[in-house]
Amino acid sequence: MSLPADDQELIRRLKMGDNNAFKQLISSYHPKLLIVARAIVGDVFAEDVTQEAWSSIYKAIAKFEGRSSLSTWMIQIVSNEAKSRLRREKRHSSFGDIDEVRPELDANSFNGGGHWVNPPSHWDINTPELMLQEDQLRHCIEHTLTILPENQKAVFLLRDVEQHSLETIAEQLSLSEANVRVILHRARLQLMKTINHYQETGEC
Amino acid sequence: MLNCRQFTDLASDDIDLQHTGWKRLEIRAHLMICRHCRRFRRHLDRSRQTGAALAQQLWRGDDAMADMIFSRINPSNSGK
Repeated sequence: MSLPADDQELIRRLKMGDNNAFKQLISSYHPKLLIVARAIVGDVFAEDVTQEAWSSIYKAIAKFEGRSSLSTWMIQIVSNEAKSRLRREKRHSSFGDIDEVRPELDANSFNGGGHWVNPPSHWDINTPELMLQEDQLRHCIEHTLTILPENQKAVFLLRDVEQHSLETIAEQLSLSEANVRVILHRARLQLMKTINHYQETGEC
Repeated sequence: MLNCRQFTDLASDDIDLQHTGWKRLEIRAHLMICRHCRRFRRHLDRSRQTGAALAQQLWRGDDAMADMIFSRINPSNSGK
């Protein structure tokens, strides 16, 4: 698989033992690895697990072969560290088994036949570019991202930010693919509700 | 025949191209006749894209954080 040019340059520097490049990598990825660790092992051990993962990444980076993206490779390492910690602590995943019932919109959005009673309203600010230019809306979305449950945050990060496949995410987080899809849909619905509320009221 | 409520449950999977065969045809047929569900899908997709763009900025560390973590990995080289 071919990596983006920026990634290739960073990997070249990392393999040469460039410590500033490694700090750049930490700066770019630490909060993301922390989200993944927190989702698997819980808040108490997440910082510790992520620090251990950085040590493993530092030791192994010279052997990175580029068969997956750097992001996928690092997330696999933090995922392995978190699962290993979980086994040592003999705890069950903080995820557990979630119910596979699909998340629902407000019950009064539909009639008894399942057709819209309150259909989605028109959005005046209707492209991501325009939404990102609205300071108050940015604030609302950032708040929603911050308060998403840890499992939704991790799945949203891995799918919509890092663009991993659903199959890979399921393996990384020890979930079934069906659960990943449900959790992802919940996260996206939450974001949509926030944006919709802002479009209707001008407030978070 | 799919109704709107059922479509909203399937919208994320549709965005991720998870449906094939008959289910995919059923969804395409529903979207052809239902402008509300077309709008719902569009809103969900744009919310996803906007959230991802913001998350990319929000979920980043800084130099101080990187220095601190690096110093624990490699104390002798933390300042280099």
